[in-house]
Amino acid sequence: MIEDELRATMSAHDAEAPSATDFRPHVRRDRHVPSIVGAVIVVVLVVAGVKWLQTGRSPVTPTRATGQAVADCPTLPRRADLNLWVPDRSRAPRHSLVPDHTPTSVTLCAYLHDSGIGTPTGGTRLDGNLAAVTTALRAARPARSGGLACTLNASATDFDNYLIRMAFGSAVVWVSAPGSHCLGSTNGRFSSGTNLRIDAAQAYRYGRWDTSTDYSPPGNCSLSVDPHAARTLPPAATSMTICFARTPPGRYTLYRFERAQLDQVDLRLAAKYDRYAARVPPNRACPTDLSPIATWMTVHLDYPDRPDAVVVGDPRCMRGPGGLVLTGAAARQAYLLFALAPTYLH
Amino acid sequence: MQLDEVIADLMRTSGDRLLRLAYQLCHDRAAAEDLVQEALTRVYGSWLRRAPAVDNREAYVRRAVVNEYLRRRRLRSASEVVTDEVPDRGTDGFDSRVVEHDEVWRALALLPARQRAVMVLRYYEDLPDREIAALIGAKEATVRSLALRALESLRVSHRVEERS
Repeated sequence: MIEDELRATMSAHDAEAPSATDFRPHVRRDRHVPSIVGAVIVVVLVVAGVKWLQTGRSPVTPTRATGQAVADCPTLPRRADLNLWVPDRSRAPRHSLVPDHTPTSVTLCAYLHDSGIGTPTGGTRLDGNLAAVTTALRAARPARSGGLACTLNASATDFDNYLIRMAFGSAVVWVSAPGSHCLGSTNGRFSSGTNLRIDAAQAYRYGRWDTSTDYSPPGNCSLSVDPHAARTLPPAATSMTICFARTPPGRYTLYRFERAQLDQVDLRLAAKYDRYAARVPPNRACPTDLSPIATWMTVHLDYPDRPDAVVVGDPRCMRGPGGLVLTGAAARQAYLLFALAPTYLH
Repeated sequence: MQLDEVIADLMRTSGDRLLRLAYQLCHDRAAAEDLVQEALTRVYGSWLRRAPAVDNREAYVRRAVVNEYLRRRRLRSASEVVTDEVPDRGTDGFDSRVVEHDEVWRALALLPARQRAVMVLRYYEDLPDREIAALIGAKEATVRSLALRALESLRVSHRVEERS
């Protein structure tokens, strides 16, 4: 029944809607609003913003940034253009994202947290094998029209946008890596159906394009429980390793987050976490309306003063076999990372 | 209670609900916020002239949101282009239910404004046709007609997606 699908679809997209706590005024240029009305809107927004401020959300400090790299990064024009904008397409090839050459330098420009102001929040010049960047970008498929398989949790992105600046001697090719799941990357002439944001975010974080060999799974990502793990786990882990599993079975993605990175994730996704948390019923039963993309995950917690712990379970409720439950800050971070899962799984 | 307090209180209690409704109509977060902001501005002007009744403030603002949405669609600037082509393809292999939801979501976005409003009010807000008619300023029969046409369009879109 189309009516049932309508209800389910609208409900599924509900979490993407802005919340009152995020509601902020927009600069209006198209009409004059009476000053008293403007004043009351400010009052409304201040009141609505109190809770937002109380969450402690603050601008994100880029993980890596160098002066020269940031100088290479342009200011973006308008918020609406962030996703697919490139500063210059004059040297962009028409049939692939980049030419088939090894770049002389690659700079990643980050515009984190959808600040809307268009200035780069950081930039990093990549080290390592730059030919790998060319290889990866040339593998990006052309966009196909007539269909879009976009995740329901598109809003679960953190709205970070990246621009990849590839220098080939004096020639520069720019490639966008949009924060939206629903868009591919483009160089301004060639549009790809592949979104390079995940790779760009990882390269920005680690300063290298291909970091997969550096972060191989500890042991395996099989469904298992550490028998020494406590039923509830202390929160003061020094690092957390997450194995996200997805369908079909046997494929997984692993990320390891050090303490500082966990803190950063915490800041960036505080609001989204709250939204997800609000959807987890008080009795911690698994909600049934979340995307089925991540079917389970393991969380490895490393502690400085006690044995490491492993929790396995459904990421939506973090309850594993044996009744293990993540609590406190660790649970919060796990939820945050689950919010990120649709971004990382591809 | 002062009027600005009334509106602030309304946003505290009903802000999320209004923003979700706006988002269902616009499919765009920024546009949804704009819509609610504009509706609040209009409501404020109206309530300055006549004090709001206590029992139906949210309904009043909800109506303002829907009307503002319809008004904007009528006045849509030349810079907006309606297209049935999605920009790019994301990733393959997701659960079919996810893709199916997405097809319906996209088809909804292509409906004319009044049909879309009726779909949202009927299947998201679960309002009876009588209330929808009052909200959009139309007869009940018109609402039924709009709903029929919208559902037919969605069914056709769905069949096309299935074939392709």
